[in-house]
Amino acid sequence: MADKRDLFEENSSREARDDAFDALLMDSLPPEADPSVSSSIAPGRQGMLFILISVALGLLTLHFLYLDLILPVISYGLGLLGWHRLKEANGSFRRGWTLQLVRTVLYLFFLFQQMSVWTMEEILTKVGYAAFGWVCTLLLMAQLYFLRQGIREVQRKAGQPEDTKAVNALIAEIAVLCVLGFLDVRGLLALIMIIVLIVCLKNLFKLTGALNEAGYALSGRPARIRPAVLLGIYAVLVLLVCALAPRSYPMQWQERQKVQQSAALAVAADLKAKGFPDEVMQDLTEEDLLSCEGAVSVMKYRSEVSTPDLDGLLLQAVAVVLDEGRGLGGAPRVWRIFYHFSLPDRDHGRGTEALEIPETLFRPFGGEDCVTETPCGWIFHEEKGKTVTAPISGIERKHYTTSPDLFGTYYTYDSWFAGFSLSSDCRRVRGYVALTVQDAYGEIDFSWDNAEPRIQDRYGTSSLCYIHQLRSLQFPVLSAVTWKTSGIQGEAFENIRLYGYFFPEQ
Amino acid sequence: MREQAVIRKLKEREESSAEELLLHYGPLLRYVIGAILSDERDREECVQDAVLKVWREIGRFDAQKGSWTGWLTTIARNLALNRLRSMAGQESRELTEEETDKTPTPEEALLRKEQQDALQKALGRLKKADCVLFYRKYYYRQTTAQIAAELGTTERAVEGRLYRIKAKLRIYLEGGDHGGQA
Repeated sequence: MADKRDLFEENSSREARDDAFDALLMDSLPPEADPSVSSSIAPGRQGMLFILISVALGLLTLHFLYLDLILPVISYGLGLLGWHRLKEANGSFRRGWTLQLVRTVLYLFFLFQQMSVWTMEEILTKVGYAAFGWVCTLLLMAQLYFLRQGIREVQRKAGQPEDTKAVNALIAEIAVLCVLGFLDVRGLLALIMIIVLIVCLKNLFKLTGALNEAGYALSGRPARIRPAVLLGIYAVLVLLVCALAPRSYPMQWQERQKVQQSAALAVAADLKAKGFPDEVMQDLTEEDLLSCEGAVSVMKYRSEVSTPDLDGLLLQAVAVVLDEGRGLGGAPRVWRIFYHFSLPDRDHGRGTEALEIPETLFRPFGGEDCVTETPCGWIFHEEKGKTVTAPISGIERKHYTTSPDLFGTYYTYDSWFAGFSLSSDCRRVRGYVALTVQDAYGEIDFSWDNAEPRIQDRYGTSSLCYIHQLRSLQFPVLSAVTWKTSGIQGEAFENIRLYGYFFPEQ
Repeated sequence: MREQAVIRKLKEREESSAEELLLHYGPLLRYVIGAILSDERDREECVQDAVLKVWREIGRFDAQKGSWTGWLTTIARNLALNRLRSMAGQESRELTEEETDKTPTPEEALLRKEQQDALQKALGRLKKADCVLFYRKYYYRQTTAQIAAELGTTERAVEGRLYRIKAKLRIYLEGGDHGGQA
C-alpha cells in the first residue's frame, strides 16, 4: 500500500515538474518565431512536393546506372508518402491515396517481372500485357484527376479562386506522352516526346506552389501508421519481390539413365558405322537414337570458338539423312539434325544461356516452314561422379525484329531458341537440340559449296548463335532469349556465332 | 512576386490591399489563430483584428529583418494569445473577483530575457525538424493531433518526439552536454 502511495506521489511530482517545465518553455519563447521555422510550417506543401517529385521521377526512363530500377522505386515510395500525408484532407485526396496503393501493388508485380527471366507476355499473354499497360496509364490519369479535384477542394475551403491550370496542362501532357509511348514512336516523333516531357516537368515545378496559400486550410486526422513504418513496409515488399523473382529457369535435373534397349543400341552401332561422332552419340537419349532408325547417311560439322569469357565452346552439328526423297513433287527429303555443344568448365550460375538456330539454315530461299515437329533438347553435366540431365523445356520458334537505330531500320528473323539454366558448380556441361527437317522442294543444300556463299552474303542471319550470360547483375533481368530477340543493348550477354553447315561424310 | 505586390499595395494604402491580404493570407492567419482559439466567432474576430493590425503597422515591416509570413504569423499568434488571456482573465475575475498585477518587475523582465536567450541557444542546438516541431507545439500552440495530421504521422509518434526534444532541452538548459548540434 505504501509502495503504491510512493509511486503515485512520484508520478504526481513528475507531472508537476513536467507542467512547470512546459510553462517555463512557453514563457521563455521569443516574441517572434525564427523566419526559417515559420516558413517551414506549411501544411500540404511537403505532401504535394513528394507527389510531384514522384510523378516527375515516374516520367523519366533512364537506362544507365540502374536508374530504370532506382527512379521508379523512389517514385512509388515518395508517392506513398505524399498521398499518405494528404489523404485525410478531403475525399479526392483519399481517393488519390487509394489509387496510389493500387498502383504500387501493380508496380510491385511489374518489378517482379522485371527482376525475373519471364517476360510480361509470358506471364500475362500479349493481350494481358497491353491491358496491363492501359490500366496503369488510366490509373495514373485518374490519380492526377483526383489531385486536381483535391487542390480545387482545398482552394474552395480556403476561400480562394480555383486555379487548376497547371494541373490541367499536366494531365493533358501526360496523356500525350502516354499515347506517344504506346505508339512506340521513333525518329522525329521521339523528339516531340522529349519536348512534351520537358514541358511536363516545367508544369510540375509550377504545381509545387499550388497549395502554398490554400494549404493552410488543410485539416485532417492523425494517421494510423507512421510514414517511417509505411516506407519500411514498402521497402520490405520491394526487397522481397527482388529476392523472390526467378533469375533462371527451373531445370528438372535427374540422374541420366543409360541406353539399354537393344533396338536403340543397334541404331547407335549403325550410326557409328556411318561416321556419327562418338561424343555426340553418348549423350543421345533412347528416343533420339530410335528417331534415326534407317539412316541413309551422316553429315557433320565441328567448330570450336573461344571468347574472353568462354574459352573453348565446342559445337558439333550432325545431320542424319533419313530419307533422300524423290525430288520435286515426290516424297520430301528428311533430316534429323543434332546441334551438340559443350562448354568449358567455369562458373555457369549467372542466369540463362541459349542456343539460337535460325530457320534460314534450312530454308535459305524462303518458302514453307520445314521444321516438321517441335525440336527437343537436353542438357548434361557431371555431379559427384554421375551424369545428370534435364530436358530443355520450351524450345520455341521466335519471329523477331531488331532495329539498330532510331530511324526505323528493321531486320526480321525467324529462329528456334533453346533457353536453359545451369548451376554454379556444373562440370563438363554439354547439351544438344534435335530437329527434324523436311524439304519438299529439293531446295535445301547443306553442302559447303552452298554454305560458303551464304556465310558471305547473309552473315548475321544464317549463323547459329550461342548466347552466353557474362554477369548475373542486370536490370531489367533478361533471359538470353529475350536479350537476343528484344534487341535491348546491354553487356550482360554475348552473342557467339557458330557455323552449322555440314560436309557429307563421303 | 505576389507577396511583394500585396506589401506594396498595403504600404501605398490601396483600397483593395486589405481584401487581397485576406484573400491570399487569410488561410495562414486562420491557420495560426485556429490552433489557439477554439470558438469560431472569436477566430473570425481575431482574423479581422490581425488584418487591421497589419494595415496599421505595415510601415514597421522590414523585409531585411524577417520574413513576411513570419511577421504575419507573429501578429496573428500574439493577437490570438492576448484574446485567449483576456478571456481567461475575465473568467478568473468572475470566479475569484481578484485581479493580479500582470506587469513584470524589472527583475522579472531581466530574468525573462535571460531565459529567452538560453532557450534560443538551446533551440539552436536542435535539429531543424525538431526545432520546427517544438515551435509548432509551444509557440503556435498546435495540438498533438493537428501536428500528427499535418505530418502524416501518429499522435504517439509526435508525443514521443516531443518528449525526446524536451529531454534534450532540459539538459541544455541545465547546462549539461556542451557538445555541438544534437
